[in-house]
Amino acid sequence: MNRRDNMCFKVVGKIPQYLDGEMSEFEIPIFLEHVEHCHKCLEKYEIEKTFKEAVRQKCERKAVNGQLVNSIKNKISMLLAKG
Amino acid sequence: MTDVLREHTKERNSLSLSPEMKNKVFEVEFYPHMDALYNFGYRLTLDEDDANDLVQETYLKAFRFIDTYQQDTNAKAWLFRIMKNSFINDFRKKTKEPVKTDYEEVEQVYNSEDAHYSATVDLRQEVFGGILGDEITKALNSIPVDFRLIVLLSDIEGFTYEEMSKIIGIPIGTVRSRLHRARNMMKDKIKEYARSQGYKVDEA
Repeated sequence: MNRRDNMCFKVVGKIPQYLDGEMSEFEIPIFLEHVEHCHKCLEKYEIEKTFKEAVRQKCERKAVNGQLVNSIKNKISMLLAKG
Repeated sequence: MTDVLREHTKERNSLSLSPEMKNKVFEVEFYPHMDALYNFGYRLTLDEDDANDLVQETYLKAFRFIDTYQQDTNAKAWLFRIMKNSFINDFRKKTKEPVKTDYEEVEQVYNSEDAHYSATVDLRQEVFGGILGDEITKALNSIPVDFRLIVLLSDIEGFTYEEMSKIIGIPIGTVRSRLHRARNMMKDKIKEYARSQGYKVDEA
């Protein structure tokens, strides 16, 4: 593997870390510098980013029903009243 | 100066909160997370009644253990940890899935260190961009619960690796690798769907 491919391999491996907000401050500029100038890595980055966004935004979110909210709050209130 | 009333208990060194303080913690720090907890519970159990029970049990346990909670710290992570433990202890038996995920089998197929797992990584961006929420939800529901759990915590609830590590009780390295595998599993499901819908799906 030549040096360029080696860098790409490392960068692609770090994409989830960056997208999850887990990359260290000093690594970020190096990472972004490569991604912005390497079309193969950029494409992979965009795919991962889109996937993560899709899961976050498009996954159906369930909300709790009012009855349960009241039931829980009542139970806790009663327990608090007991002291 | 403040209206904090704390009672010292003889048995323990820590301070016990008054009912007023406890109520405040619930109102300000605990109740706001009920929707997120319900959503999490539902995604874990895939059953509305079970999810209701799980949420209720979580808040009752929160009450029972409230003296172990430090105010104004990470209430969400604390509550999610309680729910996750309740789920593992009480509800997992009810689900149709086997109790233990066959990790070895999963590892063979989804090598966590291989960043270039080409069969799943090289999907076209428009597939994910244009994919329906329905298919994402289905893909999420289809993966084993331990993997579903970690995607929920990361991508739906936005916890950090460290928070997830504490909620689940696994090392941070395992958080990372499990997340990687879980996402690859979901992508495979989505890819299957995309193919069936006639999308072009590249293989590297």
